[in-house]
Amino acid sequence: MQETIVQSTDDEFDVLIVGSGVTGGWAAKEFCEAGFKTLLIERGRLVEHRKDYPTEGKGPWEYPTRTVAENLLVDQTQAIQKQCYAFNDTSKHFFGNDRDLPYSTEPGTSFSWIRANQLGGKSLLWARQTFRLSDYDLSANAKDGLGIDWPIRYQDLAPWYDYVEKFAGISAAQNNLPQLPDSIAQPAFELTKPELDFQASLAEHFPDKPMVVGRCAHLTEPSKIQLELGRVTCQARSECYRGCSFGAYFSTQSATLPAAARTGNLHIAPNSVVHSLIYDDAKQRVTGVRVVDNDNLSQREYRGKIVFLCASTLGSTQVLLNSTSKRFPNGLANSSGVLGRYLMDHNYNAWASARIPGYEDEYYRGRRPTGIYIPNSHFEPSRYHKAFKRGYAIAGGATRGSWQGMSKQDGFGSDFKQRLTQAGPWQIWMGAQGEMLPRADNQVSLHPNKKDKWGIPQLHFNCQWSDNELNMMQHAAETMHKMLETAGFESIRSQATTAPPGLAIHEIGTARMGNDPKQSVLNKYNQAHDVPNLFVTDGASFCSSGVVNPTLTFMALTARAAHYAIDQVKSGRL
Amino acid sequence: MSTANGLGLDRRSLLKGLGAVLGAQAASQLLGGQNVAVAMAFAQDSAPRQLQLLSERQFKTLAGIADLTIPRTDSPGALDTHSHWFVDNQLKHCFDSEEQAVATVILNKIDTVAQSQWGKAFYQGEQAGQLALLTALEAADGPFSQADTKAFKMLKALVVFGFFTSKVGMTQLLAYDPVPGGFKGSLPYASVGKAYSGGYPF
Repeated sequence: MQETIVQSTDDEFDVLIVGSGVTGGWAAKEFCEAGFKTLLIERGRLVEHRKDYPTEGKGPWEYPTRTVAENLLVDQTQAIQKQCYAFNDTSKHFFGNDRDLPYSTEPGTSFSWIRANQLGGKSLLWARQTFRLSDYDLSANAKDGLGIDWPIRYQDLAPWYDYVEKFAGISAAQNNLPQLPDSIAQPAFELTKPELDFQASLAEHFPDKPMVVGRCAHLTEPSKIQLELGRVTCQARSECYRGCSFGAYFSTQSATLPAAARTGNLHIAPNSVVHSLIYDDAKQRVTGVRVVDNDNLSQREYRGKIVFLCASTLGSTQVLLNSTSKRFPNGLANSSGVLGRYLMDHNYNAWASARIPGYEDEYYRGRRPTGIYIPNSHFEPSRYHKAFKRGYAIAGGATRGSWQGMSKQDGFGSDFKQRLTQAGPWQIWMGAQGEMLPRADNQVSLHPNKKDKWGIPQLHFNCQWSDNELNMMQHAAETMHKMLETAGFESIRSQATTAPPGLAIHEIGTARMGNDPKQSVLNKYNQAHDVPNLFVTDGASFCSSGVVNPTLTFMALTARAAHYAIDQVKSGRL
Repeated sequence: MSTANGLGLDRRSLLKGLGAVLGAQAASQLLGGQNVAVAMAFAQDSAPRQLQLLSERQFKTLAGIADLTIPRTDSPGALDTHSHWFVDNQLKHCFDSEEQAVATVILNKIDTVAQSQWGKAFYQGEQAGQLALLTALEAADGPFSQADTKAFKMLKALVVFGFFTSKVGMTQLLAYDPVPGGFKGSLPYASVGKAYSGGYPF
């Protein structure tokens, strides 16, 4: 590695970046490549690509509990984190320790806050599904009046989607759908035979619900730039959550960090928990950050000319809320009073499954890192259902069953044993990914007296689904049921559930963009209205959730904001 | 358009290219060709050989169940892979006290029924008698209730889990493919002939 590890320093950096996940990594790459002396501040430990993936390549039999995490450990330290689908004995070291990361929830509400505090953050654990927002998404608030208008449109983001996709490497097909703009892509993953036939059935019977193959940040035909960074083709191992030494999926470690490091401009301050930002009332600028050491709790400061907050949606908002001054008694850049409000997640509370008869001679090879995807069909007001506003996408896939599904069948002996070694019937599973409306009542605030071990006030959550989200999930479950029925599948099951927000791990909003400084925290370049050298480029900036997985948009917004800041500095305006 | 190490190249070429990136040893560990399981030098199944939860008697009952469920045939069985040891350890470390009680209660009941029917412990019985008893249990017949069947199925599923996540189960009984090299959406089932060891995390 060519980066410089920093602990205490009096240097003033050209830019301080708080957080090293997807957005922090992108900001670091862009500033380093522009020649800025960059300090990437990470609250957790260093994780070195390849070297620090200790569970990669291990067979389940090497774990006494065969990769199931132990009760005692989970109950005491990771009871919240274990709710994440990616949590098990092979990945638990990349998740936070609940004991160190307390938060409270308003009585009658619940929120699952999944944490990944190490170099690379959640870029090591994300599910890697990557879709562009459309102009329908970015104009939805303006059209139906639910939430303030986004200050940007698709044409503002499109070149930056192009830019980040070429570097990150996206596997996708070209589908030419108005509600799901195409990506600059490497070859798509293949669909299985039953999926292809289901696709044809949907095209015939549900013409407004076309099925496409999922798009994901996995390399299928790496470009020169990716090969230069040591990234190669996805092997379809499905060990992603352990870290990937092939660099086949996009992470800070595989992609943005090595690109930033090779410029010689990258400095990293690990184990540095940002307490608050330092605001100079006279200069009306942020001048640095106050840090508490992750391990020994000592305090230090880092100074910089520009601050990029990339600490995750809720992490960034927590830092702003805790950065008070004479001018900003309720949190930095919060003259509008909306900081902390309009928290959103995606709603995954509907699913359906079925058995697919036939195809006994069909199989596949590998563990595909994406699935089938049915974009939102309710993407503009004229297409809204009468029971709810906005809409949902559907994701899923068809695979053959295995011993895992047959282990409770009747029978004993060699016949039973033999049966379990064979692939079972084809089965299909689908889940909804619903939009959550931006509502002022859905809010995080600082707890008035509870603090964490670094002396930082805890976040207090008050976030709930509204009837709109609940009605949408009922409709989604019924719709998916009909789709499976029409396709001639069997043993169809479907359900709408009411799990609380948080577990889509798509938390967004709480420091939203907008044209009006009285109603928003950030302008159209993710720059604080109140503090010109402060930018927030993670999910906190979102004005609405849309239905697509947000990470690709995090990347595009970050790269766009970084280039705006770089241009402003170069032209002497910042 | 660069395809220098896209899916077009064979594994040897990829291994060579990757060696430059990862170092030869790491690369061969990740992409060891036909003998990948051997090349990766996996440790043997790790599970303690000391009882964690069950009594000696309960453990002997469990061993009888495991042997009947997945016997040694032309391939190793549940006892060969220490799946009964796995079940005891798993119950202790990954199940709560209520679930543990469900397991021990049904093991005791199986033994009690055996005692009353044969005048000896379940583990001392003939295999034919043991099989008849467990078949009645799966059918909720005679002395067994639906709740007993459900409790038994939990134990049985754990035996299966232990067997098919053992090294033998994963690499010999099933089609083990740790580094597939990419995803292919369609191929004849006969060309594989058995189920894959599974998807994430198995």
